[in-house]
Amino acid sequence: MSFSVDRDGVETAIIHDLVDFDGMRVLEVGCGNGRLTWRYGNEASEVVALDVNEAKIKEAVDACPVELRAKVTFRAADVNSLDTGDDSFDIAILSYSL
Amino acid sequence: MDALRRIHKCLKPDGVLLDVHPQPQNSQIEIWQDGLTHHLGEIDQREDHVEIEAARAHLWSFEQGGLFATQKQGFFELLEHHPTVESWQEKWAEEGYRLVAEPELLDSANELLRSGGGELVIREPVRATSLRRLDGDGNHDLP
Repeated sequence: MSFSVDRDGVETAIIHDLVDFDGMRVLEVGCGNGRLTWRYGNEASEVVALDVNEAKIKEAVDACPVELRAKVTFRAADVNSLDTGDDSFDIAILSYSL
Repeated sequence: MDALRRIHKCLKPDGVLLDVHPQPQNSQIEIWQDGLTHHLGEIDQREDHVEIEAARAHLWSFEQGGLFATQKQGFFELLEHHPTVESWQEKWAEEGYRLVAEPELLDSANELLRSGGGELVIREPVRATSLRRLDGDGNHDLP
């Protein structure tokens, strides 16, 4: 047996109840190793996921499911270094990082 | 620029901010074994509670400043499952989390797992909030 989180998908159900990710462009701040990203990535049209921890970003990149690699971009950066313009995202997620 | 203000700018008009963070409550420690749950105690996270409350106040200031409005909240418990106490300690150290628990509690967990198998479960209360981006200019002394 290995370490696991939210085995029954409770967190996933809650965030999908609160937000409709279908076809949305998502900014995730504090993505860590991508644990939350995998829970909505399939529905989103595009994801930019940031974390200041480079090691965690590397973990996320290495662990990213094949089906999400074309639309999820992980960056070791903080939100102020984003080079996207204003009014760019449909959804922003503060992922255990407020 | 303040991160919340930057996020506000990044969002489209009527965009949504989803904030997910732990509640300012101590997480609970359990051993699950043969269909039974042994509640052993809790992790002392009082230092984290201060940070959480400060973060909530910061977000609330942006709501009061007319930049966001709460739409809906959800509350749940995030469960972490570990095969051993060591697995838990290693994972939290790796994440940079403080693990403050009574030594007797850790000894009990180790003894239960050694004698009867099962898993250690950390039960962390979490709040998730969806907020709608508003078009206020934040002229309420916001950062």
